[in-house]
This record gives sequence, structure tokens and C-alpha cells, in this order.
Amino acid sequence: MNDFFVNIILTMPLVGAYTMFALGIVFIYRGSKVLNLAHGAMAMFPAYVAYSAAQRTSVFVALAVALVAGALLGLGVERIVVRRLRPSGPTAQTVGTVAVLGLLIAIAARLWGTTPLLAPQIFPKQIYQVGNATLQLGSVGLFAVALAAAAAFIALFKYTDLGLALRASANNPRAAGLVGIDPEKTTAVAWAFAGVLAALGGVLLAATTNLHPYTLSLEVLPAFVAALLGGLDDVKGAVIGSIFVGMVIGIVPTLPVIGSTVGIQQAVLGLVAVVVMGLRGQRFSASDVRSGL
Amino acid sequence: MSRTPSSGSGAWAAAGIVIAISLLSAFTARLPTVEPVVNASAPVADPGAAPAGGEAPVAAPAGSDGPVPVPAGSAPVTTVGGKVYDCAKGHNAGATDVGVTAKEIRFAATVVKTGIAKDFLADAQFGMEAVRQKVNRQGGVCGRTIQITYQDDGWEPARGQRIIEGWIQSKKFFGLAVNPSSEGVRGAIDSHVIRDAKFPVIGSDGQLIDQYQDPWVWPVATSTASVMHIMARHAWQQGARRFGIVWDQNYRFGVEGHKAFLGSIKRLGGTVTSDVGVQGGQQSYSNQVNDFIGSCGGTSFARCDFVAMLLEPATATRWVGDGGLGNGNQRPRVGIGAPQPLFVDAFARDCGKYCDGMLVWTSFKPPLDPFDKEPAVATYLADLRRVNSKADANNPHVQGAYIGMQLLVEALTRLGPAPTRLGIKAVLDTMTFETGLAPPMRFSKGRPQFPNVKAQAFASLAQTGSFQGWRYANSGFIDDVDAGKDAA
Repeated sequence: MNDFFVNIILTMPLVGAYTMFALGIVFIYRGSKVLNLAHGAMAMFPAYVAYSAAQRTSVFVALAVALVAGALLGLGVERIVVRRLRPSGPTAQTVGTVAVLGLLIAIAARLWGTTPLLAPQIFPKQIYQVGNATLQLGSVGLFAVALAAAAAFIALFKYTDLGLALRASANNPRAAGLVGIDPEKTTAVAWAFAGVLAALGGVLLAATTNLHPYTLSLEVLPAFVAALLGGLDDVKGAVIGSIFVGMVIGIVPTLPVIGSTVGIQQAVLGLVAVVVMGLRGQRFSASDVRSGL
Repeated sequence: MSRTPSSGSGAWAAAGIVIAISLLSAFTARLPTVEPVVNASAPVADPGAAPAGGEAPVAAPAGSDGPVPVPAGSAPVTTVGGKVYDCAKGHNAGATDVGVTAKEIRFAATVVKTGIAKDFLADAQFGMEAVRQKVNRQGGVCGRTIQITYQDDGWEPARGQRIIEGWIQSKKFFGLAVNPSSEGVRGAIDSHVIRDAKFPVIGSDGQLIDQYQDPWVWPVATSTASVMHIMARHAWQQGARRFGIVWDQNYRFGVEGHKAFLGSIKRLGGTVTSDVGVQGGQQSYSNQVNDFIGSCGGTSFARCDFVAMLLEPATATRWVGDGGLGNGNQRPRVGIGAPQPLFVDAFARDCGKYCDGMLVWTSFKPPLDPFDKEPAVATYLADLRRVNSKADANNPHVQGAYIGMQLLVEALTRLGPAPTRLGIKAVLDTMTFETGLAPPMRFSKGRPQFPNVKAQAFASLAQTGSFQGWRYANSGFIDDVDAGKDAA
């Protein structure tokens, strides 16, 4: 197989993970105009819940428990932190999510310790040879679930009343209220959905790596760049952004000459993010660009 | 649809945060953590260890709790201002320097309980405590107990430097004991904090070259650079001519070891056919593995006679899981090698059949056949088990921490009743140190100094895919004939 295509296939785990997380970030931004910097911790915490549940029950029940925990966590963060900070504006809300990030990491470290733990395996332990490297079935599964989640969310936003309500209440809460949409409820629903998505991503990613309160929470960082590249409130854009970020992190280090430069992936990502934002001018998200035209 | 000014400014602020985060994510594995003080002078807790006064879980050999050997040439009697102080009579000179009182002498150390290096450095504290607690049970050194304040720096140079600067400014500590966090002490050494304050660092792990250059640091272990020299030459002597290396470019041990390995291969006349630097802590290395194994001629390793894995355990586990050592059925013709950080039982268990036959290197005699019956080695194991029944006794960083503390105790013992920083420097700079756990070390005034430039190899053994233990490779202690070359 051509080495270039092999390398593309080998980025699947990275693309899958970043897509899962970027979708959650987009969902929250679209539902409440808040950049949720606690998203990584909201993925990590339910993954630990799944770990504890799997000690007592089957893996799939543990996964279900984790998803419920993710939804509750999303609701809790929205109700306790984000909603209370709404009068202070989105900057205060974003800073509030940083506090949640620290708090969740601290609680997880306290409850489960900082020694890496072996997370429950959702997919069988199968390994595939791709080129000269290997891919776990869990990584392929993460990629497949991410694509399925992306398709589901695109459909949700495009074809359902809930999707329409979410967009309306985020863009203009007052107008949405006048047509009978409760912005508080739609925002809470957005956070609950994002919590489920984060939990799913966290459990699947932990299954292919391991459970650690800090590193798992920080795995989400490149997904912020993916979401930003995609326009922050655009599901399709988030998927494309995740593919780009996955490729940069996966393929750039294998390039001759520049590949061995320390920090080259981050430099490329940062540069592209700056260029994309520059091209967008004053507007930040894709909808801002569209609305400004 | 209109955009409100508040959401616009908020969004721009958030965008700034995102870009900053994306750039900083290169260093995620080294982010500071939330655990401040790990332990302040208290015995290290071990759920498996015997309670105070109880029986140790592993029986100590006869004499294991015997007196700490007082070396020849020690100075137990000192005269200060016409007064005679005699350690044998329990008379010391009291508060003779910073961190010293009549009853105790206080040290500090940054340790690694969080972050990417904890897999091979976290247990080092137990090695230190094994000596400290033993010495204190015997009444300390010249009537002074040894106290150590530990703090986690996550193996992060800037954080380590800040902590050490704080300790120096507090004027509560005599110096650093061992300081298992090589990256933490690196920050303080490279910024000249140590030498400017004349703050002794005694018995460090020697992982990085800068420890051999600072006049106030006395390392006990062989540097990563020296181990990579030895490993390359050993592989060459076994017939390797084409080499592959994967190394961690985020941390200094990887950078120095890589440079040393390449330098050795060049001097020997070999070829490096596959050379891949990775960033530790990444969630997938599949693409780099594809590149690395491809350059080595595929999973048959047709173009790599020998592969060096210069990674810390977590990254190495990920690397191997992504196929970085092939399929486990075929290996490089001469073999696979790794320096001290991968001489860790937990990593070998994770690696299983992929690491079967891999040679790992240490500058000490671990409690493994044929060394486990030697008195000094048996005593080391018993002392360590008394503090923690589960600590990895084979790990060179744990054993190095034990030996580093022995060096500290011996230097203090020789110094006698009136320890001072200048005094301990004078003692250490002319000291020959022999423990039975490592080749004799000769320290000197000049810098750089290389008290220990030897290493020997052990092979990881796997059967039916599972790690079975380590086997001595009968290499003997091999000298680094290129010590000091290829300094990063």
C-alpha cells in the first residue's frame, strides 16, 4: 500500500478522538455560546465512573452508567456554574469552566489516585497490521463511533425541532422565548448531550490508552483547535477540523527535515489557527461570518 | 442575525485561550499538578509494610540493621573555638551551618509522584527512606537525625527550579539529598541557582550531563549519555552495523542519549538507518511507528541490526502497542536495548513478548542472580522491603537513590561533629566511595567529573507472551570509553 495512504489510515485513532471531543465543544458552543474548557475533564470523569462500575457489572452496563454520569455532569456544570455566570457574559462563563476543569481533576485524583489504570475494554482486543504499524480494534471503533456521532448530530441539528430550538435559543434567546422556546431548557439539553458525547469519547479513548486524571483531561486540547478551525458552531466544520488536526499530529512528525523538529505539530496547528482566524476577520464562529454577510 | 458586542469580545478572549492552549499542548505531559507537599520528614507509608516496631514483611538478613559503616579516615572529633566535640561521646557542635542543629540535619528533595516519569522515578523515594530511616533508628549521624522534606515537581524543570529556589531562600535546609527528579534539579543547575547558593546536591541519579559539571553536585549513577555509548559499542561488538533509535525529544535524557548514541555509531563507523524522535505522552504513535519500522526494512528488521528505545515507560508502552517493536515474532538481528528508565518491572510486564530478550542497562548490582546473594545487595533489598514491600528493587533509580543516600551519610560521617557546606564539599571532592552495590566511585575537585561511567546489562525474559523476569547478560561492568564526548 502506498505509504501516504497508510499514514492517512493510521491517523484514524487521532481523528476519531478529536472528532468526538470537537463535536461536544461545538454542541455546547452552539447551544449556549460558551467555550467549555472543562470538556476534557468531563470526558475523564465518566471514564473513571465506567472503570468503577465495570468492577461490579458488565462493560456495557458500565458504559451506560458512564453516559448517564456524563449527562448529569453536563447538567450540573450548566446549572451550577454556567447559568449563574451568564449575567457576566461568555468570558466569565468560559473562565468558570476552567475552574470546573481543575475541580474535576482534583476530585478524580483524590478518588482514584494518579496511578494510570487499565480502563475497561469496550471492543475486543484485536490488532490489525496496517503498513508497518498496528491499529487496535478499539481505535478503529473510536473512529467509527465518532463518525456515527457526527452523522447523528448533523441530523439532529438539521432535521429535528430540538436542533432548531437549540440554534434559535443560542443565537437569540429573547426571540426564541417569544416563539415559545425555553432557552434555559435548551441550554441544559445542549450541556447534557455534550456530557454524553464527552463521556463516550472518554470511555473509548481510555480503553485504547489508559486512565489518568491529568493526561486524559488534556487529550482534548487539540480538539479545541479542531473546533475552532471548523468554525466552532459548525458540526461538519468540526469533523473536517478534526481530520486536519489528526493529520497534522499524526503525519507531520513523519515528514523529512521538519518532522524531527520539537513542537512542530503544535507550531503548525497554532499557525493554521491564527491564519484561519485572521481570514475570518472580526468574526469568530462560522455563524458570525454568515450573519455578517 | 446580529452579533452582540459582549459575545464577540468573549469569543475573542476564548479564541486567544484556545491558541495559547494549542501551543502549550506540546508540553501537556509536563503540566504542573495539584499535589504540593508529598511528605515532610515522615516515614513513607506502605500498606504492605509492617507497622512500627512490628516484623518486616521480608526477613532482613543478619546485620541488615547493623551500624552504618564508618569509613576509614573519618573525623569524629573536631575542635571549634577551643572546644572539643566528639561524636563518640555524643557531643556535636550544634548549629554549625544552615539546616543543622544539635539534633537534626535537614535536607530536601524534589521527587516525581505525578507526570510522565513517575513510572520509573516514583519509587526512588523509598530507596532514600530505606537509608534515612535506618540511620535514624541508629541515632542519626553524630547525634543528628536526618530529616528530608519531599515535594513533587512532576519532572518539570521550571517547577523544580522554583521549588529548589524556595528551599534555598528559606534557609532551612543544608542541601538536597539525592533529588530523584533529574529534570527538576536540571532547572536549578542550568540557571546556576545551585552553584551561586553553594547548595550541595548529594547522591543524585546522574541521568543528565549537567550533574557532572556543577561543582556542587555529586552524582552516583552513570549518565544516560554514557549508557548509550556503552550500549552502542556493545551492540557493535555483537555484530550490529545498522542501527535504529526511537527517542523522546521532549526531555533532556532523550536528547542527550540520542546525541551520544549517534556520536558512538559515527565513531564506530556504523549507520543509523532509522531515527525517530517522538513527543512523550502522545496518545498514538502509529504514523511514527510506520516511518520507523519502514526505515528498518519492515517487521523483519532487515535494515536494522539493533534498535535502541530511549523512552520513558509510558511512552514506550504506547510505542510498542502501536507496533514499534514489530509483531513480537521477529526481532532485530542483534537485539533491542534500553537505558535505565525501562529497567522497570511494570514496563516489562506491559511489554511482554515484544521485549523478550531486550537488554536494559544499569550502573549497579540489582538484587537479581548472581548478585542477590552478595551481602551488600541482600542488605539493600532488606532495607528497601522494610520501608515498602512493593517498591521495584531492580529499578536502577530506586537503587541509585539508596546509594545516593549512602554517599550522603558517609560524607556526613566523615565530616564529624561540625558539618558545614564547605566542609562536605571538601570531603566529597576527594572521596572514594565503595558500597558493594556498584563499582567504586572516585570523586574529584575538577569538573566535569565522572565518578561512575560503567554499566551492565540484563535481559527481559518472556515466555508464552508474558514477562518472566530479568536474566543477567554476563556483560560485566563495561566502561564508557567515550565519557564526556557528545555533550548536548
